[in-house]
Amino acid sequence: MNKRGQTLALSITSALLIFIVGFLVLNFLTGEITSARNQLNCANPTAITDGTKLLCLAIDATVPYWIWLVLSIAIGAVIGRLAL
Amino acid sequence: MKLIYVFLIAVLCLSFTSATRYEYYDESDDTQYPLTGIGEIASQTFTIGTVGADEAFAATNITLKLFRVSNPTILNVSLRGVTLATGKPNSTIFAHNNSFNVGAITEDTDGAWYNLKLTSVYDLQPSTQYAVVVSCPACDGTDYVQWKQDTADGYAGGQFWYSTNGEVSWTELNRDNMFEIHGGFAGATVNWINTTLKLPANNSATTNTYVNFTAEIIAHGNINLTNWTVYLWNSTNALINSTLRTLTGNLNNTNLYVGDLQPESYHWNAKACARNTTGYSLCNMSIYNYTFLIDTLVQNNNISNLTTAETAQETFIQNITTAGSEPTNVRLWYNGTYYTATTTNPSGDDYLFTATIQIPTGNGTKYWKYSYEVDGIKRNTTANPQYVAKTIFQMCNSTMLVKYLNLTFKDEGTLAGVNASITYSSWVYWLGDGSINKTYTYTNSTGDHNIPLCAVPSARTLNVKPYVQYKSGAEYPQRIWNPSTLSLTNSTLNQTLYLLSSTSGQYVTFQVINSAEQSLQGVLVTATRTIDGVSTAVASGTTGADGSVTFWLDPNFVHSFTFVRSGYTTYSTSFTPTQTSYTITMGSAGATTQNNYYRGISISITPENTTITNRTSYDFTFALSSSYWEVTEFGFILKNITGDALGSVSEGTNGGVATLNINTANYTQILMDYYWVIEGNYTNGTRLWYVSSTGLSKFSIRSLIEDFKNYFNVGIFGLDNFGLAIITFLLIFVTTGIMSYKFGITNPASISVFVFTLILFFDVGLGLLDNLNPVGAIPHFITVLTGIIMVGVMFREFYR
Repeated sequence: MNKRGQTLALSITSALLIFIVGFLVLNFLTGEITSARNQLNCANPTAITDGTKLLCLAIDATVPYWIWLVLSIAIGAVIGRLAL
Repeated sequence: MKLIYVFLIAVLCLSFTSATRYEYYDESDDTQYPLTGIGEIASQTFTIGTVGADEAFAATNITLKLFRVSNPTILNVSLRGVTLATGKPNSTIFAHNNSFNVGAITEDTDGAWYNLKLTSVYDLQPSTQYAVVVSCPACDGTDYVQWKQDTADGYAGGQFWYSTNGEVSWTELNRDNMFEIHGGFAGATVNWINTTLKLPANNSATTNTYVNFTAEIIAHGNINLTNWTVYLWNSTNALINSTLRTLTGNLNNTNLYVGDLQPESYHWNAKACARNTTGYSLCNMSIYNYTFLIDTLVQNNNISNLTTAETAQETFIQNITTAGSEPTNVRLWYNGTYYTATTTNPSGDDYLFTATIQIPTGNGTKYWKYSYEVDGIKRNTTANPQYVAKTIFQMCNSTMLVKYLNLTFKDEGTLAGVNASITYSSWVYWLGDGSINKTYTYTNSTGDHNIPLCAVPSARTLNVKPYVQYKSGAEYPQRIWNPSTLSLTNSTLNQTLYLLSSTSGQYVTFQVINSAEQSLQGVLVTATRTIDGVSTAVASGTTGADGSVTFWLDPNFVHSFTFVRSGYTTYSTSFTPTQTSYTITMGSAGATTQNNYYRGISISITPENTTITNRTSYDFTFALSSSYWEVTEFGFILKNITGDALGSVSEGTNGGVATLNINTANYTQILMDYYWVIEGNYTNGTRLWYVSSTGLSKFSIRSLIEDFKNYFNVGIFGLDNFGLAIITFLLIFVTTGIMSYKFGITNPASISVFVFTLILFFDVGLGLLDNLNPVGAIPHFITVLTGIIMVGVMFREFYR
């Protein structure tokens, strides 16, 4: 395996590590998000303030952001190594 | 027409009567004097020869000008002597009539003349003063007779006198009452005919068009009856019958039938004639007419008590006869209030109206009648009076003397008398079924050893529900006497209430719950113990909203406790109240005395929250420990809302934890029937959980989208669905622009595909553009429209 091949293997391995760790952390995040949603009463929009609604939306968006972040870093790691 | 008729009757009377009017006063009557009962006596003195002939004559009749108010009955009239020195009537009665029926005399305040036949004849002497004395002992302030009077004192031969104290004293008034003295020659045999109308009775009614007329005719003196004639007038005063029948002898109860009468009002009279051996004849007609009604229905007798008392239960019965139709919409009207009534048909066209009511509070004369409909016509029966006396229950005093209840306070330990104060007492009392009742409240801070309570009416059984808080300073803590309803009579109930000294007792709280562990309010708790060899209630009370009641009890003696509540098994138990609190569980079914299988039992149930989440597995546990009984089995069954069993578990140990894991699925409620078995006795309880739908309570990508839509639906920072659409548009616009700028996509077809893809994602995928559908007929209209544009652009590119 030449140096480029070694770099590619390392980058894929790094990406997989980032992906696995990211989704392991995601598992902890969902529980906390559920708790936060219940405590903020996010499912009852008529009973909460606009600020709370915005906070609920931000909390709701945490997981998509996180997934997007993890995937971006993992894919970026692979593509970045390839570009080198 | 009426005047002519009255004049005709008057002429007939004058023509046929044999008695001559002697002394009289019959003018200028401008007021009247009321005869309102026992002790109320009126008199008019008169002197023979003042107006009439000044000669001796045999007095046979007295005529008075009267009218009635409401329903008086009998008037007493006597002819008396006068005390010369004072001019007052004296007690010497020469002749009298104590049975003159005034129930049918006129109610017209102008009055009318009524002839009273004296029961014996008495010779009055010329230029001598006598008195007519009148009283109405059966009258009262409601039903009475008025004797017409002249306030101008126009009669010179006598004066008006009255007594309000049964002739103990007389008062003279410068007035004269209307009177006439009739009679014949003094010492001679007086001939007269007494005609008394019998049937149809005055103011009666019948449905029978074939009427039997009956009269009692008596010839006095040396004459014999020859004939009698029945005169019958209809409602327009037209004479429609004057049938003559022969008579013989001097006493006759005779009758005559007249048929085919039409339903309307009639009045009738009878004229009787007699003749002596020399051919002298005379006739007599009753002084007034009788009125009767032929109706399509007749109001017959009624049954009710003439007197009653507040809160009593009374039944009112009215009998009517109809011409064949059944009365409907029958209601009792009592003092302005309508009550439901029942109708029965005992025979033929007779109907009985019956209503039983509780007499409302408020004393005085009340009236009752029935309202009903026959053949669509609303009718009322005649109003009948009923006198309602006060019902009173209170501390005895100078006017309340009939003792119903006597409270005595004693020390529970020493049995010595104690002066107790009543911090508060409430006595709800009634005579009937209790739906109408009165309340007496009483407090006494001074302290008495003995408290007597009296009641009126004194001859009836009074129901009393007492609530008494009593104590004696700081030495004897407060106790409550709150027994079940007492039935009290004038045979005094002696009730001893015991107090326990502050050094001998402790407060004991009873918490009463049902098998579902819900607090029971309104449980009557009674604590009894043996005092001086007699089982005696020492405390009683009713549980409050928290299901508890607290007593001051002696922890050194065994007490019996009874727990009573409607709908629950009466629970009885005995123990020494050494603890300060006890929990009592009441179940359903009949009254039995049973062991307390809750004693020493401690249970714990999970999940602890009453609301659990659907589609979630839970460990349902029932933990039981027993410090008193040996439990042979315990466990539980889980059921859904329809009662279907979801699973069960049981343990055969003396305590422990029974566990069952169940997924809540989509059930809305889950019920745990838990139980334990002691000595073969099964004791159970229930616990309910409400299962809530997870809905948006947990995280999901869908939550983000739903929250987004929901928040814009209700508004967020002033933005609504239009704001959402604008944000979505900007998102599409900016994304497309960035992509075009970043990757150099300038081809219209490519851009349209990109735009369509974004719109498809936001509209169909996320549903954020639902509100941009202007008509609603085409689902995802904006996506369809963009798709058509995209296809058009692509075709355009293709043909280029």
